[in-house]
Amino acid sequence: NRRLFLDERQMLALQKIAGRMGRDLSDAELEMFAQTWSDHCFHTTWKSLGLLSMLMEATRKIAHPLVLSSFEDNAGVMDFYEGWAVTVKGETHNSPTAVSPYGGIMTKHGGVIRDTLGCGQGAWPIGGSTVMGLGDPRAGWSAVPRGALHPKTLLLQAVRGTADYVNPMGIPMMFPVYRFHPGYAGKCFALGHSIGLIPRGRSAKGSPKPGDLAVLIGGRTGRDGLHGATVSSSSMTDKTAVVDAAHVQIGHPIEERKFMEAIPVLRDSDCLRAVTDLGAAGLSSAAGEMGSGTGVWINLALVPLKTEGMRPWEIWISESQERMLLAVPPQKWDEAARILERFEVPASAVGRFTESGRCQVVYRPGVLPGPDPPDMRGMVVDLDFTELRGSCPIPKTRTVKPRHAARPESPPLLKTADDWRRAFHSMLSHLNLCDQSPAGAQFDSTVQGITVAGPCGGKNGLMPNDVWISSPLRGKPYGVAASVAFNPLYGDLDPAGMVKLMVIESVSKLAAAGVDLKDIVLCDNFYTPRINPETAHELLDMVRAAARLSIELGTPFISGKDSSSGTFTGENGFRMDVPETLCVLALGRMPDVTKAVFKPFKAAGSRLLLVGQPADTLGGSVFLDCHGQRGKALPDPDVKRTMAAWKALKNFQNGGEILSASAVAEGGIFKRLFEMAMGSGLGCSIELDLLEKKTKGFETALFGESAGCVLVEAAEGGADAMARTLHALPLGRVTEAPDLSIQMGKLTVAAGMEGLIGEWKKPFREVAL
Amino acid sequence: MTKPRVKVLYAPGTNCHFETVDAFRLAGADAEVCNLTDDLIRGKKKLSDCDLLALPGGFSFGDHMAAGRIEALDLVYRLKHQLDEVRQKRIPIIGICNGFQVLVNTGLLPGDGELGKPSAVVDRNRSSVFESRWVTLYVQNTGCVWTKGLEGKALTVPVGHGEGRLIMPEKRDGSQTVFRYGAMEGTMAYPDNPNGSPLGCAGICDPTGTVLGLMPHPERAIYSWLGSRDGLCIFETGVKAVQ
Repeated sequence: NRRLFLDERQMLALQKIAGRMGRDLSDAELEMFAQTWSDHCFHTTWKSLGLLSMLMEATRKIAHPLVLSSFEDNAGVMDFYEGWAVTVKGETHNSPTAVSPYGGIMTKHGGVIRDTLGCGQGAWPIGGSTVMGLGDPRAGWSAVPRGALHPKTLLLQAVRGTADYVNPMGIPMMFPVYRFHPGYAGKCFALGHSIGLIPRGRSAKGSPKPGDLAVLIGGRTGRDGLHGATVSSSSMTDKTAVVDAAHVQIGHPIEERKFMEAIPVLRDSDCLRAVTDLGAAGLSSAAGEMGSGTGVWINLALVPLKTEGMRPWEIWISESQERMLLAVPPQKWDEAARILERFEVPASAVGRFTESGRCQVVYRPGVLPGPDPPDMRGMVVDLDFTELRGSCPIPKTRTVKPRHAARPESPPLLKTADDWRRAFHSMLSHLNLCDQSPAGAQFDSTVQGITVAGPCGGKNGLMPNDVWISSPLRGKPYGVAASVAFNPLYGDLDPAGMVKLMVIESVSKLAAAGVDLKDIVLCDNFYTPRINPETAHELLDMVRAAARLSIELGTPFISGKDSSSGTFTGENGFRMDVPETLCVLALGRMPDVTKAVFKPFKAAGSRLLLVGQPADTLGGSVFLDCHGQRGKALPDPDVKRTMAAWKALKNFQNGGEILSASAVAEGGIFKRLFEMAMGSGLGCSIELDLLEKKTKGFETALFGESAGCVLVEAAEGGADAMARTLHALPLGRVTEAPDLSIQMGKLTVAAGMEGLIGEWKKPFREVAL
Repeated sequence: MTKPRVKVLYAPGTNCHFETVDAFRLAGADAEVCNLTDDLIRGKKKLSDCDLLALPGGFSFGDHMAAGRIEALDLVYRLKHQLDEVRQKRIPIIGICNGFQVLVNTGLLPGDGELGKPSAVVDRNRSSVFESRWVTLYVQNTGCVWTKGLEGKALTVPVGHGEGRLIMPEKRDGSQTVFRYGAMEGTMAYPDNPNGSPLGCAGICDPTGTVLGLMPHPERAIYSWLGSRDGLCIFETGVKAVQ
């Protein structure tokens, strides 16, 4: 049982290929086809629906002047300032994490960091994230399918894994985000981002020339991580942890940190024609992709091994971590070897690039990659690249519009001040909104000495910043800014509507901080259940919405990754699907970080305004989730009006008239007011009547999740004029007293910040973090 | 006036060398990264060929065995003569975070014993996890060359470490304590004192005042837009001391 995870159509195609070649496929060839054609590497599900081309087409149409590279390299590249460019990549590692969280999370970080190192001729990582979707860690075993790990185990080990990998790497943490949804109790969501910095002139994807040496650097190759690409492309079952245990690799950050140091030096010494990382399917994928334009010859006997006795096919597809493949011009090999030795990076020339158009692999101890034509004795693989990459049958995917059961929306009406205060408490102690710093503070956010705004800030150092800002050109105030939007509660209700809200939310967070809309690009990570006609229909809707919205906003997707394996299957036909999931990262640049607008209130007495179109529904909100409901419909903000509001806001930001600002998202304006007050040690006094006229209901006014809206603080003097220009609603004032005081008609609800902060801090500490 | 030359030591796993070089340059020195294995052990450069020596933060050699242990063993055993020369020339040394852990492991700090015989331990944080936060440091009255004139100041700088609790076996008078967390007299309150170090001790110097080690990262607070530039004065003071 080889665990190839090929379907019948693909098997038949392989038979035909063997027929054309006039011989049986070797072990290694069979494995290589299985890896290359896996959903993980080939994105068969997405290709069958034409999804990636939809996003790429949208990006082409936008023709954004800052986009230097999109969807072709290990990461997307956006132009920065003074001859530099910024790279972005988001990679999920759901499958190994669900089975073996500590190792899975470490390799998630290691892998996405190598995507940065393997972008262009090698970028330098300047920021990373961890974004997790998990089941409720406080739930009983009955909420967890048999064969899956308990969410609490996943959470604790994931936090430890992130700390133990990212801290030694010395890469600042941008966003530690943990979101909870019962649908992740079978298979979790484990995403990591990596942002890099690279000279603009080195940012194009490299391609080897015939004669270049194929050099393998980093850790040794072992039996760990066999079949990662294929296993992760399938559903997880109650047996995965046992049968496919070998697909999880072991991370070793010090090894990776060494070549992180060496790669920019190699790059700047012109030693690299191309560089890529060894991830899924290991050497077979890296050498296969890098050599597909020319041809490549590899001698597996030259690969340094962890254990003796590995079979050639195992060496060829092993996913042992901390390895990269370089294409080095032969005349540069001595210099490259010296640099690698200086940084104590093990390196071996294991082959060379050829003109054959073939992927040729041998196992021949002692035969070095010389200038002679490749010697094919000891053949392991000998395949034409067109065969390998071109002949995968793409399954036809039927789509059927799913029928959703009607959902109740009958939250309790809040009548008395006590009702409201109880609602405040249940909101702030909701796992998705509560203080997650017991996890986040374990990850170094200030290393490299470039962080302007890390995950948390404000007076007590705990206020979530929402926007990460970095100044990577030392001594200069140019800023890279990033924000993420990820909310699995929305996916239950309306997947396409969620996509719209995620894109708008991520962009509006940057807009609130003062990033110009024309300086923003996007990175998508989709995670959806295993494909069937209904999930296919939803996926198609989601990607259409993403493409349409990116065009409307003029913010192109430049990188991303999809996984359609979000399903756990167990005994007796049990099936648990993850909620339709999309995480959007918005990446921007700003010319001067000292002009950035932050969240904490500045001064008592100043005025608070709400800019944008408030939500008229509670659908998908945390407030409804507190009552076990999802509601009928998600908010549906008008894109044109929202963009106009951001543009108008930008003028006031340029003039320094916005004292503080925060984009509305999960938890509604209530959560924003709470955070802005906490970050400043001040309070606020709010009158909701005007807003209520638009939202129809005080609950919606305060807790509705108005994506696209920005809450701003303005000095008394200019506030009225600003409100008129921005079509903004006056909400109230900042107060000296550290309380939230909210007036609704005749009712006034006041709550002290100290008590609220106490409630907000509890939940994560209670799950033993 | 020629600029003082600073060597910033790099070993595999070191990850704060670039910002440390930047801090010294901003303070008016000529700073370069010096590679422990390739430059020093292979004999291309000499450790003592500088005016100031800095051991930056990171996870040298993965912090396997114990934080800073392997780099310390290299310094004490493979580079013994060079290290002796640094001491004879009284070249001021600053060890930050992992660099501090290295200095304690070499025996240079607290510095009342022999080289290679550590007389203190930088132990795991009381919280038992890595702590990434901002802290306030209170500069004590010592004869340390790195803080001359800064006594009595409060400096806001980041910390980022999992092992920062300084444990010294015998009772000391505190005359070597250069920085305390949270208050002039120090605090044990978490998280103002992020690691539970007794008496809120965040950094110490040797009896001569030339070798300084501290857990927090002043090199991460050298531009106003990073939230604070309080860290720069330590580098400026060190540079001034050898000018």
